[in-house]
Amino acid sequence: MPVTLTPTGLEIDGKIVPIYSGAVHYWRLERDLWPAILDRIQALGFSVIETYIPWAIHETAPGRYDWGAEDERKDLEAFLSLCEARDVWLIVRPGPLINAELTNFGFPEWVLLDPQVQARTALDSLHLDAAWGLHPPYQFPVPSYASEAFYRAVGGWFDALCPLLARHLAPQGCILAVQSDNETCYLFHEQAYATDYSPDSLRLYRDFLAQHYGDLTALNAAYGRDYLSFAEVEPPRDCAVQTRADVPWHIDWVAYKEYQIRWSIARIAAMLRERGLTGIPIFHDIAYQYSTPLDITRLQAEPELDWVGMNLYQNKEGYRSVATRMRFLAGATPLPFVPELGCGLWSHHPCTPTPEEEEFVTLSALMHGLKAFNLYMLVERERWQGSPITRHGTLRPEYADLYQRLLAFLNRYQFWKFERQPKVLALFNYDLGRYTAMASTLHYAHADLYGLPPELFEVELDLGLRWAVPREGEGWLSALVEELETRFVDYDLADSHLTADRLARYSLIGLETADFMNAEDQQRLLAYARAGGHLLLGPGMPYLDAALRPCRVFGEHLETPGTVQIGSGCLTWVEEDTLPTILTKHLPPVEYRCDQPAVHLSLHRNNGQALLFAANPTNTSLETRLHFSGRRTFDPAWGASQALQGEGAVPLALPAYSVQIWEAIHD
Amino acid sequence: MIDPHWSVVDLDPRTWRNVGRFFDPGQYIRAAQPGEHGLFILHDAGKILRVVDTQSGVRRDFDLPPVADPRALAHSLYARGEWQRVHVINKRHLAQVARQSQAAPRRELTLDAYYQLVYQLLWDESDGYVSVPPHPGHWGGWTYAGLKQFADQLPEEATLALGVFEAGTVAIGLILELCAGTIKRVSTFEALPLNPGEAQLSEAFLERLWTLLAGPFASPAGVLLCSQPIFEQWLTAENKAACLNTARQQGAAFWRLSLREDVLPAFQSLVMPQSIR
Repeated sequence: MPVTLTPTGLEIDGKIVPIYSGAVHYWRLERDLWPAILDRIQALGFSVIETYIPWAIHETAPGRYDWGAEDERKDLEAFLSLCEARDVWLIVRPGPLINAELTNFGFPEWVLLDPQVQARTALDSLHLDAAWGLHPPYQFPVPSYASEAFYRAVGGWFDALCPLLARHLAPQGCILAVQSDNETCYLFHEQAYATDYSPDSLRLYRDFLAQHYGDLTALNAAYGRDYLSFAEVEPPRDCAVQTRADVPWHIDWVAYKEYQIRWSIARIAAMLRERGLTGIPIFHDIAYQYSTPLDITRLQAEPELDWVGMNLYQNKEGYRSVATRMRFLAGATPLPFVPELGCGLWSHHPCTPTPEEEEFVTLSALMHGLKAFNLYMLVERERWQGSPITRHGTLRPEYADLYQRLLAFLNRYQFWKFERQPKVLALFNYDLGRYTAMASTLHYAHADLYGLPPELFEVELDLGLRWAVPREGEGWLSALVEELETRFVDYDLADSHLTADRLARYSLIGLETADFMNAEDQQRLLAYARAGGHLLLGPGMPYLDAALRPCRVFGEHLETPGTVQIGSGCLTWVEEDTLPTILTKHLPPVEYRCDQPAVHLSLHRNNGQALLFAANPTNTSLETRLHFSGRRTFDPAWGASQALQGEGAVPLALPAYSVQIWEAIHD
Repeated sequence: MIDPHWSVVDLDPRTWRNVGRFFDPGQYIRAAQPGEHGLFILHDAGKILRVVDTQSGVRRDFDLPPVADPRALAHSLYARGEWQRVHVINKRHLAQVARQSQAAPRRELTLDAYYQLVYQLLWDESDGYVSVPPHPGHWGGWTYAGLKQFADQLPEEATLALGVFEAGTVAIGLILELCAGTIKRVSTFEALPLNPGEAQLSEAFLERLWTLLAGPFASPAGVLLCSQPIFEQWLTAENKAACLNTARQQGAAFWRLSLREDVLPAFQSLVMPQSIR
C-alpha cells in the first residue's frame, strides 16, 4: 500500500508523516481566502489538514452535483490541487453521515424523507435525531444503517465523488487517509432497545442470528423456543428478563446492535475501495464510547478497516475521562488517534473552552497515549467558535499561540517517536457492559431531557448471581486502577475482546470478573497466562458463559481466591480487599513517584531520551516532591521556565489543572 | 423561531462561553431541578417498577401499593417533608410522548416548536407525569408562547442585540437577526467594526451600536445593554419591568426600541419596564 499505518504515523515512500492535523471546511470559507488560510495553517506548523466532504452540499438535487460551477466554494478539485501545490497532506471524510453541525447532518433531505430509508424505534415510531438532546437547527428522521435504499443512495454519492478523489491519492496526490462514515451509532440514541426496528434492520438481525447459531435448532435450544424459521424471531423491545432463560434472546439483540455498526462501517469502507480509494488507510471515528454497542477491538479487526480512533471533547474537569479514553486507545489500537480533538466548540455546546483549558486537555491526552490527532476545528466556520484561525483568515492570538507552541514542541522532540511502555493492562469485561445494557429501560425519545435519575433507567434482575455487576467507576477494576495510580504505575486499558497479540505486550493484566464471561475470551486470556503472563482477576470467578449457561474455564484452575501456575505464567483470583497486598507483590518497579498522590506522572521514551509528564488534575495548586534514584536534571519542555536538578528528589509545583513536561536526564 | 438553515457566525468565544448554559432544552421541559432532593416513582399503569431517591439511590424500603391515584400519592409523599419534589411517572406516558412526538418527520415545525410539542405532550392533563410541586409552566417567567408572540410581531426583518458587561468588558455581545419571526442569523459584537475598548455600558455606546448594526444587519428593533448582575436578575425576576427600570436609574441598564405601535405591548409584557408603556 503506498500509504501504510505504523505505530508512529502514516508511512509514505519510506517516510513517516506524523498525524498532527487540523480541520478546515473548504465549502464554508470564501474561495479567495483559501490561500491565505492555508498560509496561516502552515505558519502554525501544520502540514496535514482534514476536511469533511458533505453529501448534501454537493448533491443539490437528486443526481445533480455542484463541484464549484454554481458556488465556487464547492470546487473540491481546486481545493485538493491547492493543497498539493502547497505540500499539505489531506485527510478526507466523505460521510455519508458527517454531522459538522450541518442541517440534516449532511444527508440530502430527499434521502431522509424516503420511508424505505428511515429507522424505526421499539415503539414503531420514526427516530428523529432530536430524540436525544439538542441537535439544532432542525429535527430529521434518522436513516437506518441496515436500509438497502440508503446504501443505494450512498452508492450514487460515492459514484460521483470517488473518481474525483481517486485522482488525488497519495503519494502523487494530497489525500493520505479517508474516513468511513462518522460516529456511526444510531445518531447518539444508542441504548439497547431504542432503535433500530426497521424492516431491513430486522432482516439483518435475523441474518446475524443465523450466522451466530448456524441453524435453527441451535437457536431454539438457546432460546427454549420452537421457531420454524429465523423469520419468526422478533427482537426484544424492552428488558423483559424474568429468568436466566430469557437472557440469550436479549443479549443477542445487544450483540446485534454492535454488529450493525461494524457491518455498516465495513460496508461503507468497501464501497469506497470499490470506487478506487485504494492504497490509503480507511479509518473510522467513534464518538466517545468504549463499551457496547461500540466494540473497538472487533471494529479494529474488520478487514475493510485499517484503523479506529475516538473523538475527544472534554473540559478540564473531564481529565479522568480524557485519561481513560487515551489509555483505552493505547491499549486497543495500533496508532492511538483522535480524529476530532476539541479545538473550539460547536455553537450549541454549553461550555466553550478557554485556551488554558484546551492546553490542559490536549497535553493530558498526549500524556496518556495520544499519538495522532486532528484538531477540530483548526479554522472556524459557521456554527463553530474558539479556533486559532477565524473564517476570515485572521488569527485568534490566544488560541493560535497555544497551537503554534504545541506543534513546535511536537516537532522539536519528534514526539511521534516517543513511547510510553506500560507493563500493566486493565481490562473492562465486555460482557458486564452487555449485561448492563440488557438490564436497562426507558429508551424512549427525550427521556434524557427530563432530569430523571440514572437508576430509573436500570432494571433490577433477580437471576441468582453471586457477584454484583458494577457500574462504571465502581467496583474491582476501579479499585485496581486507583491502586495503580496511587503507586504511579503507568497502565493501559482495553476490554476482554482484546486480541492475543496485543495482550502479549503486557506482563500483568487485571480483569474484572463476575459470575459469567464468554468462554472464548476466557480461553484467550488463559493462553496469555500460559505464555508467561500474569492474569489477575476478580472479584468473581465465572461459572457461566455470557448467556448465563454453565461454563467453567478459569474456574477449572482455581476453586478459591489464590494463585496458580499455568504454563510459564500464572492466574490469580483476588478479591477487592486483598488487591493492595497482591499488587505490592507483583507490580513492576516505577522510576518516578511523588509525595502527592493527586499528581499523575507518565514517562515517554525514545532511544536514550525521556520526557516526563506531570499533571495536576485538581482545582488547587499542588506542591510536592518528585522522587527517583540517583542524580538527575529536568529541563523544562513545557509549562515551566527553570530546570530542576537534584539527587533522589526535586521539588515540583503544579498550578491547578496544569500539565508540565520535563526532559529527564541522568547526570 | 429557529430557521432550519440559520447562519451562526463570528462568535466571540467569551460570549459563547457565557450563553452556553441556555443550550439545554431539558431545563425548559423538566420539573426536576439540578441539585434538588427528589423522589421518583416509576410505575407501569399502576404497577410500581422503581423508586429512586436522588440522595440515597434506589429505595427498596417503600412498601407502596399499586398506583391508583398518582396525584394523591405524590401529594401524600411530598407532605412528609423529606423531598423537595416528588415525581410519579407512568412509563407508558413517557412511551406515548415519544411515540406521538416522532409519529411523523415534523418538518413543519421548527426545532424549538418541536421541543414545545414534547413539552406539551409530557405535561398534558393525563396524570402520566405528576410532579409535586408541579412544573411551573415557565422558565424564570419566560414562556415559549410569549417569545413567539413577540417574534411574530417584529417587522418582517429586524435585529435584536444584547450587551452584558462584567468588570467593564463585554461578557455577552449577542446579535439576532430575524425574518418573519424566525431567527435567520446569530452573531456577536465581533461581527461589528468596533475599536478596542469601545464597547462600554453607556448610553453613548448604545447609540453607536444601534448605528453599527444597521449596516451589516437588518434594521435594529431593540437593543439592551446591562451589567452582569442586572442580566441575572432580569432573567429570573418576576417583575422584569421593575428590574430594568431600577437598573436604568442606577446606570446599570440602557435600551432602545424601534417597534411598531402594535408590537410594543407584546414586548412590554415580555421584558420591558412599566415606564415605557
